[in-house]
Amino acid sequence: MILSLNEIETTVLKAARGAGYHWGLAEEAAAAARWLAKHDLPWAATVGILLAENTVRLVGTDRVMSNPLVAGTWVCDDLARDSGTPLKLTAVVAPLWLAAVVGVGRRAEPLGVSLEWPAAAFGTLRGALQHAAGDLANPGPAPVSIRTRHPAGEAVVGARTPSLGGRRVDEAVWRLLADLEKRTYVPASVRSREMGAGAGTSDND
Amino acid sequence: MRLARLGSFHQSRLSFLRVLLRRINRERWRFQRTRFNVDAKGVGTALYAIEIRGRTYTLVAFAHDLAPDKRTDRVIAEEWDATFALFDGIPTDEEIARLRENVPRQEAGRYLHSELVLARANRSVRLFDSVVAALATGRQPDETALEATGYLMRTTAVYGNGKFGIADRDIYAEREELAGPFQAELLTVWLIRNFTVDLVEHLARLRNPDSAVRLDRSLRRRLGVGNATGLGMAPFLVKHPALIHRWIVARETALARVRSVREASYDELHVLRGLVQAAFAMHAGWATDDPVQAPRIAQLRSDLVRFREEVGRWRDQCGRNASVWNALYVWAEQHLCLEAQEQVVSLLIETLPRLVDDLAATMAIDEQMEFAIDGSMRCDALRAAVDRHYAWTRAVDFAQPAANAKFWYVSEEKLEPRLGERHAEPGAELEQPLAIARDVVALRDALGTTTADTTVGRFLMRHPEHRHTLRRVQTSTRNPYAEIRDNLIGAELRAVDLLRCKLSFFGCTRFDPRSDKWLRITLFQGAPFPDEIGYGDWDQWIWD
Repeated sequence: MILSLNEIETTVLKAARGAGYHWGLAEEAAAAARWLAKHDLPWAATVGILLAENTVRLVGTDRVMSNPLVAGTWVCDDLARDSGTPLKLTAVVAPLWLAAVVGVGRRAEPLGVSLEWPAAAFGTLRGALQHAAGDLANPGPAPVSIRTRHPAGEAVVGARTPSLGGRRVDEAVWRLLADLEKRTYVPASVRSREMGAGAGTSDND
Repeated sequence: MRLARLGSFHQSRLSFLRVLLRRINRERWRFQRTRFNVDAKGVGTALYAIEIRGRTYTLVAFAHDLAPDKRTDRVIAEEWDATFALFDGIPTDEEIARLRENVPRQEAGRYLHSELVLARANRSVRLFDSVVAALATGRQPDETALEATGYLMRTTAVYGNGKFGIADRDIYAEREELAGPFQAELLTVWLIRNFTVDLVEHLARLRNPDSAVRLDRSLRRRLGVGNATGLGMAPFLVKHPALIHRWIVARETALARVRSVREASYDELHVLRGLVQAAFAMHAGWATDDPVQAPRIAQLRSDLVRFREEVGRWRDQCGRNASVWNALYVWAEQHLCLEAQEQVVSLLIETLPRLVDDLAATMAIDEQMEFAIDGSMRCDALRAAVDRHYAWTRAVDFAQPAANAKFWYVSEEKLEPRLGERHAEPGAELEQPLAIARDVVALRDALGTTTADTTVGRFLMRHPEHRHTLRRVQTSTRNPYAEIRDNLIGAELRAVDLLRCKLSFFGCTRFDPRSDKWLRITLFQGAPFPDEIGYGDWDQWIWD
């Protein structure tokens, strides 16, 4: 099944909320999913881990930085201060999502960001993907190293040409997202049917 | 940015369908009906191609034979009188066959990024049949009946931006002809209008080939496209704060430019007076049974008479007073109802197009650039921003049941946004994040117990539940017209106000609330048709 970017974004938003994330973090997940899909990166292969109960439950614990959405937003904040010191996180679940949150969150920042985790390297600059190679779908928890780079003289090299590849999703993932999404829907009740917009009106006029 | 005012907006020359038509004529888009195979039962296929800058867009229309008991404007419908896709290019026969398998099923079908827009429409049964009958017997239809309804078909949904697999807006947002808000969707509706007229003429001809006549051109202009719109559209204004800021600030800038002009000539004021008269006449055809809207229309018309006199007075004193435009606006604000005040805004903007039209190009935005939270902001600065931009939330006491009376949710049955009664219906725990005022109050409370120099990033580590609200607050500091300054879950909320605001920016007229949750409107009534490109008035047609 090939989805539009908007479908990916809105579906992941609802699925993330259904999985138990607060709305604001669900928005981060949705924007990150769109960004990954646009850059032909394996969001669908890793979204199940992001939305797994164990990953969601990290929020609010002392292991919160293992959640890639929280770690990503924290990295954006810390890098904004540009301390020059590489950040090291010890155990991040599905680190591709951390990288995507950084990619989305630093669209307006002048500095490039490099991220590395075992057997994978990733670089973004002003919201564009510079390079992504290796084991991007690593489920983690994995150590991640992050540093800023002055982009002087750097071209945006290796940026992938957007293709339909990142929008392809198999049935199992789509079902998982649909099941989580469904948790955000309110079933019809007698009263909601009676009160529905247009209920009881004739349109043969 | 109060809802009562937003719900009184009228179309203006910055409205998107008017911007689209000016462009179509200015750039001389080339139009062609390339196929029209419809049988006597009204079943078949039609193709309309429109070409600009080497690109062709094709409206693919499927006409159906719909049983009356299947005809409903509600989202639960599964069949329609006609279904449409706007195709990016010229579709091959294979592509048309694929579309024929999917487009009639609408939401139940799947689409590709070659489809830019998906839509469907139902007939206005009484008018449609009477027009076919009249044309078939060589007569023109009754003008009064035609004017009263104003359309042969009404769309019940027009989908864009990636729905069901169609093209994301990103794909065409950089194309000059579709860069403005909702241009692809409105182009589709304008072409649908052409199809509806072709269809009645064609069916009349099939019914009586010897005596059937075509619709008179002046009568044809009086037919727009109807639209029935419900709560599905309502959250849009809330979910796109930076975009809404662009729309409102363009309109406010246009008004400010007009008000700042010191001189007004006799001719200019004469034009304005003529426009006031035209608006008065236009609203004579605006009928509704809605107990709130009907008296508002009566008051609007009465106020327009007073405003016309005021304009006439200034016109006759022309040259002796400076800042006439501002004086007229201030007078309207002091003496007229909200409906009329907002009509005056549209009319002032209309009178001096040279000051206004460039603003149409500022009304789109890449919302993704507004997404990031500035985590380095200090909490005292955030608190100050909340106090500055959300002081209005202090007027709402959320301890009162009436302030929490409603909740927005997505219906499992309809997969559409709905508005529930919190104290009478289940499901409030699954509320959508549209209770902005209440959530801002909660954020303010949480900030109250946070030290001033804490960064927002650190605050959010402890309070991830406020992340979506905090993002809005930061967006509002950059975009002061981003927020509707009313409680969107209060007992008094009229959701149709949200719909009307958005639809006025589209360029819709004849807002006809059918309840406090949905309404019917008309688009393109009075507008030129594609075969008129290069001729006549494509600028102020709406006032004719």
